[in-house]
Amino acid sequence: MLAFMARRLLQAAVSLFVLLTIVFFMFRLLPANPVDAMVDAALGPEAIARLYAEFGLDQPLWQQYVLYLKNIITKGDFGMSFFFRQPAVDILADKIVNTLILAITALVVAYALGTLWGALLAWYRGSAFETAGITAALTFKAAPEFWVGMIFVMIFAYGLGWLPHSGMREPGYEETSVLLKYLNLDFLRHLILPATVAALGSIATPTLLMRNTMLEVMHEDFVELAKAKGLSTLRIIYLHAARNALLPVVTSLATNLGRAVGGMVLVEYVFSWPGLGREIVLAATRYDYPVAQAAFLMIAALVMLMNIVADLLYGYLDPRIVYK
Amino acid sequence: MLRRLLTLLLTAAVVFAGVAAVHAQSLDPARRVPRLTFYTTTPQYDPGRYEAALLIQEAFRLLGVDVDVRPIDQPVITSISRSEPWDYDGFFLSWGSQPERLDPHHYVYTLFHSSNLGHLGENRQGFNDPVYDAIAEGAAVSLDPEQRRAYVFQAQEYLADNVVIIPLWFNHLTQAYNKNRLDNVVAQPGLGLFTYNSLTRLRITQGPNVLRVAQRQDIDHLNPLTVVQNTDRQILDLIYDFLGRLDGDEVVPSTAESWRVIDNLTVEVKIRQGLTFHDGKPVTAHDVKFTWDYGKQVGFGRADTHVQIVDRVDLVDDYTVVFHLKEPYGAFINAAFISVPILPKHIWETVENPTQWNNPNPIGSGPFSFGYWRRGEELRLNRFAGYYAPANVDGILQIVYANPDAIVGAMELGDVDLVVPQLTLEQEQLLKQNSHVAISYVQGSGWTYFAYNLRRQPFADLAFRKGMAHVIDTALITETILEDLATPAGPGQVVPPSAGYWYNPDVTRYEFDPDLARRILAEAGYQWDSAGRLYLPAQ
Repeated sequence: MLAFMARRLLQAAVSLFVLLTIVFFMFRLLPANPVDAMVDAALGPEAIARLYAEFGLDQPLWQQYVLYLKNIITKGDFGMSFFFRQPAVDILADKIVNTLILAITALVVAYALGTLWGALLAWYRGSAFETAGITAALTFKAAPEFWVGMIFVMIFAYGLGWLPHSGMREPGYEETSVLLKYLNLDFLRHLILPATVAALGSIATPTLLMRNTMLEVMHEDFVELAKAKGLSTLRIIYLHAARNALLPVVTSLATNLGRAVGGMVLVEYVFSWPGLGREIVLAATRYDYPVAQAAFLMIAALVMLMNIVADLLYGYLDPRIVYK
Repeated sequence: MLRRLLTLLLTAAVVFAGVAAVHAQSLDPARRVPRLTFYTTTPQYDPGRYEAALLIQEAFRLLGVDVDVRPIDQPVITSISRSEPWDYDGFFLSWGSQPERLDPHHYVYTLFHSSNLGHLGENRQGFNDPVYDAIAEGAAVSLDPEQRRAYVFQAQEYLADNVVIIPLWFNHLTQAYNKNRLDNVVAQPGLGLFTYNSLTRLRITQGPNVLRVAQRQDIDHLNPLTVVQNTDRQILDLIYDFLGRLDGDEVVPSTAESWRVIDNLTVEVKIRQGLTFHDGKPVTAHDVKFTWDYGKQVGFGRADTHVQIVDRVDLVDDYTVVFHLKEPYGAFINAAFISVPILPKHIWETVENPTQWNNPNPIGSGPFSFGYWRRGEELRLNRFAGYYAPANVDGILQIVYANPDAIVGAMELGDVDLVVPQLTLEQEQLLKQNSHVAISYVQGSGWTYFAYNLRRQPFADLAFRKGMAHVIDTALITETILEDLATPAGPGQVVPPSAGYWYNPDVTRYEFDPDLARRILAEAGYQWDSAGRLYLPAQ
């Protein structure tokens, strides 16, 4: 087990290093740089040269690369954002909480409902109910999230006026404490629409996964036994069969969480949610190398970490799996 | 009869064959005008420039020239257009509305003088003409307005006569506001509503006395030494004060009480007494001197040219300074005074590494003090009661919306009082239908243009450019794309009408006339082959 962990972590570290190198050079090979992205500035060659020097862009590429690696390894320093004039890590840290709250809420809702829904679909296999259920789940997966989001905004925000259309809190709110910033009704009201849209977008995965594994489990002897005992259908589905079909669903939750952090862009865009996804897109489109690099590295690290977590969960949930 | 007819036909055939032979002989394939490459923005970034490029592609077809239109990221166009080896034929970019662009220096000198021809210089199109240089220098050095205006007018005529660049339209600033809540809304010509003038004057008639404005992009940071983005600058202009401020189309004293031009190189400035910074410390001549000295030493971002032009600042007393310029600079009052924010000496002299600092709690002496900034959400400014002309509103809350539809929605629902980003035609028509929304239309100080590479053929040739000018119908292009939300421009019209005093309405205008265009080209020795493709004149 420990050897397995060590091997996986080492693999992850090597992958991260390769990724870091690729991302570093990829951004710098693009035909423009952060100074070109300063729109409409008319700075002139002297001011531009000064900016290059401040950003360290006047050094040869390999020196920039060596310095970048050195700063990460010795100081844990991922560089300063060219535009914000703050450490790249701080820029991302600001936003990651916002995105995590949105992503976790959405995934928890999607996986809770998707699992129950999928189990039910499997049980009623071949019925019109199953066809309708699968179609509904797939429709939301296939429909672009920004489109679903816009429809929801039109109905629930502009039309009915039940929920706010944008942002995370009412503009001009009083900031009391860090905790109360998130634990209040206003925040919850703002969270409902984006979380629902994100949940609908990802509900198909747990639903179909659950349905497929349930189909296998349903023909096992213990299910027949439960039926013979005269237990109610719901009791058989959820207390007996579903528990044995959960394994792949739980592990897919772990890997999806890793991916969701950078993948909430469209929902963040539609609902003006100040999240990480938008920050990354902004950094990439205006060549803010330090922020973009740190972001890609962080997402990759998170995905790898969650994959390891998923592997470990397998062993915990199913004792038949042994690590070598 | 038949014989005569036959002879005639034969003669005609021989003559025709002869002409055709001569024709074919002279049309050396090497002379054929090559397929041209024009870079423009993607339709997602700016549909206007993309469509303009397609319309101009059609126009070139009338001359027998094929054009490739390549939509790419805006920063890439910037890079290609101003960097060695300038490998492009044409590009579409835009100059935005900025306070100092109501002064003609940027448009007349910076963009076309030969001293800015080099790598990363702003003379991107490569215009190198000693006659023009002399005119532009005259406009650059003169501090006497009338004399300067004569040069600026001449420059506009020269650029039009030589078809050096084609501004397609002068941008308008179309902004929406809630007329039920706001009163005394006066747009600043060239800059619109989100400016010092408008914001200090407007009144809120009902509801909370805080102005809520919708913004598309959040600010990055508020260090005046390093700021380059316009969104940041708009906020800095409210927090900091300047020697002068734009009011209508003239520059009036602000931190300065008055100024006096002693000669071409010397300007004396009296500082207004009784001003304080937001932390209560007085604003004196020491701060003004410090601002220029410090800026020269560490660099001043966007305002760099305006501080570097100064040789030294002499302190006469606590409220008087004398600026000594390195060389005469006609825009010194009109551009430098309104774009160099006065920094509090007591704060900046202790800052280490000032250009790496994000200035988290900016202290200035402007009409609004910094409240707080929640990145990605909102920014709050408070009215500064100690300002000499304090604002009517208690504060400004700038709210960031990630997409244009949300901004329109927020305006319709009354969540915001003012929309800062320029409205598109579609948004304007949507918002107009709301009874509580009013739209402010005012001319901007920027223009969207088509520029081309004068360093190589075919654009190096004046006849070609004149011919081209007669097939590019800027009025039709503007109307097609923006209806009446912009004013059509034309070749060489580089000073926007909003600059009033400096705008020369009497420059050569090129009517849309394809026949005339072809005649001009034919007279210059251009030829067409049987497929209608254009060939350059023989040397």
